[in-house]
Amino acid sequence: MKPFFSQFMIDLIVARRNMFFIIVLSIALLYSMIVNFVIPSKTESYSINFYILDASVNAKYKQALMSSDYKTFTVSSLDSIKESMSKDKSALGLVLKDDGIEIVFQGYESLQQRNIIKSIFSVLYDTLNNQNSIAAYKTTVLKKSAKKLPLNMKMIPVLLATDIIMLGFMFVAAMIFQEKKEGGLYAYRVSPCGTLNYILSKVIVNVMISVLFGVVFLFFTLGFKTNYFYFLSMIFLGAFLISLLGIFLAQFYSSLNEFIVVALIFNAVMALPVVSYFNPLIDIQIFKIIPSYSLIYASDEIISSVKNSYTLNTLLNLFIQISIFFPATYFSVRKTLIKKVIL
Amino acid sequence: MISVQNLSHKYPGNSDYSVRGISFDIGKGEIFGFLGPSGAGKSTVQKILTGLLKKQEGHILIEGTEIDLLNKDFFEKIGVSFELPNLYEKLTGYENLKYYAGLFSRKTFDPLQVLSWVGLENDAHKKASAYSKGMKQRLVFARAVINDPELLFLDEPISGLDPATALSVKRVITDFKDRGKTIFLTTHNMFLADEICDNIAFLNEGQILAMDTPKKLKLKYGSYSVNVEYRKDKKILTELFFLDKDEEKKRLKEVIDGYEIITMHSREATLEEIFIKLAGRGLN
Ligand SMILES: Nc1ncnc2c1ncn2[C@@H]1O[C@H](COP(=O)(O)OP(=O)(O)OP(=O)(O)O)[C@@H](O)[C@H]1O
Ligand SMILES: [Mg+2]
Repeated sequence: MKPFFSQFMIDLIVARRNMFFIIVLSIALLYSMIVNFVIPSKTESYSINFYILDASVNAKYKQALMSSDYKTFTVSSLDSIKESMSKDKSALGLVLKDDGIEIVFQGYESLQQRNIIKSIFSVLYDTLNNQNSIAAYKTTVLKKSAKKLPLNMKMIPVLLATDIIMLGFMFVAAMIFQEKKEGGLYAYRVSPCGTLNYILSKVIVNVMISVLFGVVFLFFTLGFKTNYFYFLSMIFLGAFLISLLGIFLAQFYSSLNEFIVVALIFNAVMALPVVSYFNPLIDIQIFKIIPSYSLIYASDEIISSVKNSYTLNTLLNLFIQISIFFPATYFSVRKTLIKKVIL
Repeated sequence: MISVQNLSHKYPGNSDYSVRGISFDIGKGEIFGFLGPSGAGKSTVQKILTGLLKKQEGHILIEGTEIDLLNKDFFEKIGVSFELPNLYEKLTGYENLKYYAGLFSRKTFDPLQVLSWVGLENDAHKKASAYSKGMKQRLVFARAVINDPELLFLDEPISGLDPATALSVKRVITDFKDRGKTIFLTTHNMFLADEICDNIAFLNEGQILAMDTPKKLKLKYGSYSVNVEYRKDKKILTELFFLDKDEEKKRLKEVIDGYEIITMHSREATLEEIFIKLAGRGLN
C-alpha cells in the first residue's frame, strides 16, 4: 500500500501543480452558468413565417391562420410574396382562395417537409369546411412515460460526458508524456514499485479529477434533485475506462506533439454520438459502441429519473469493458513503458 | 556480487555494437569504475546492469542470479543515479526524495538528512524546476542513495559539479563503501577514478582495454615514464616517454643526445596517460 500511495501522491501533486483541478473546476462552473443562464429551456422548434395573400371572399382561412401559432404576414400580391420569401429563406407563401389554398415553396424543402406542410393545410381546409377528416386520424404516442428534458437540461449529459471523456483522456496522456520527458519514468523503472501501481495511481488521480468536475457541474445545474449514486458510479467507471484508454494509447508515443493527432481523432469520434442525441432520427448503430454514447444516454436517463434500466446496463457494460481492458493495458504497459524505453 | 561475461549490445538501428564482448567481476564492498571517453559505452553497460536496457548477448549474474530473472527484490536494494537529471520538476527536492523513498518497502533515509549530505538542505522546499543543473544532479544522486542500497550504480556522479560539492558527493560514496556497499560508477574523470575506485576498467569503443587496481595499472603501464622538457629550435617542448617501449626509449636517447634538456622527471603516469597509450586517444 505504501508504494502505491507514494506514487499516487506524486501524480496527485503533479496534477495539482499542472492546474488540472483548477481547470476542471473552472470548466464545471462555466458549464453550469451556460446551462443555467445561456441556453434557453425551449427552442422555437417550428418557427416558419407565412406570407399570406388573401384572395378569398370568405376570411375564414385567414382568421384560422392568424389565431394559430404561426407567424403570419399579410401581403397584397403574389409578387410581394415572392419578394418577401427571397429575403426570408425559411418562409413560405400562402395564397388563400375560396376553393382551396395554394402553397408557395422556396424550392429546397425536402419532399418530406412539403408533405408535412401540405397535410397541415389539408387538415385545416377540411376542418374549416366541416369535412371532419380529422376523425379519420387517431394518434398514439409511444414512450408516453419518457419525460422530455428542457433543452438546457438536455445539454447536461453532453457536457458531462464529453468533458469526462475528452479532458480525462488528455490529462492522463499529458501526465505520461510529462513523466517521459522529465525522465521520472526511468527512476520509477529502477524502483520496486511495478506496473500495477503505475497504472492505478494515474487512473485514480484522473478519476478524482472527473468526479470533482461531475459533482460541481451536477450540483450547480441539478442541485439535490438527481441520483448522485448513479451519476458518481457512472463517472467513476467512465473515467476509469477512459484513463486506461489514454494510458494504453499514450504509451506508444514519445511526446505530446506526436500524440496530438491521436487525441484529435479520438475526440472527434467521441463527439459523434452527440449528433444522434440531438436528432434521434439519425440513429446510427455504430455510434452505440462509442463510450460517449452510453454515457450521454445514461445521463439523460438519470436526469429524467423515470427509469434506470439503461443506466444499470451502462454501468455493467463499463465494468465489463474495464475488466477486459485492464489486463490489456497492464501487459502492454509492462512491456513497452516499464521494461523497454530507449533513454 | 556482479559477474559479467561476454556482454555485447547493439542499439536497434545502429550498424556497430556499442558494447563488444566485455567481461568483468565486481566484488562485494568494492567501488568499481568504468573509465572511458564519451561514447565508450559506459552508460549503456550501466543501463543493462540496472535493467533499463534489455540484455542482448552475454551473461550477467548478480549474486548468482541471471539478470533476466531478477525481480522486485533486486530493485528494492539497488540505487541508480543517472547521467542526466530526471526528476519530477513540479515537485520540490524534498518531495522528490520523500515519495521516491515511499516506493521502497525497506527502511529508507530521512530525505532532509540525505539532502544535507549533498548540500541541498536549504533548497529542500524549492521545486526541482528551480534547481540549477548541478543541484539537480545532486538531487538525482541523493535519490539514488535514499533507500540505503546494497548496490549503487552511479553514472558520472560528479561531472559538472564544483570542487566543494564534488567533495561532498565523493564523501557519501566512500561512506557507502565503508559500510560494505558495492558501487559501480562510470566516469571520464581520471582523478575520481584514481581516488576512490578499488578497480578500474578502461573502456574504449565498447571494449575493455585494461582492468586492475589504479595502483597496479600504473605500475604495469606507467611506472617507467619520463617527462622531458627540452629546447628545440628556440622552442621549449615537453614529451612523455614510456620506457617499457623500446621505440620510446630510443626516442628519449635521441632527445637527450640531440637537444638541450631543461627538466627531466621520471614519474608515475596518470591514468589518462595510460589510457592514451592504450587507446590512442584521450578521455575527453
Ligand atoms: N539510445 C541510443 N540509440 C542508439 N545509439 C545509442 C543510444 N545510446 C547510446 N548509443 C550509442 O552507443 C554508444 C555508447 O553510448 P554510451 O551512452 O553508453 O556512452 P558513454 O560512455 O556513456 O558516453 P558519455 O560519457 O558521453 O556518457 C555511442 O556510440 C552512442 O552513440
Ligand atoms: Mg554516459
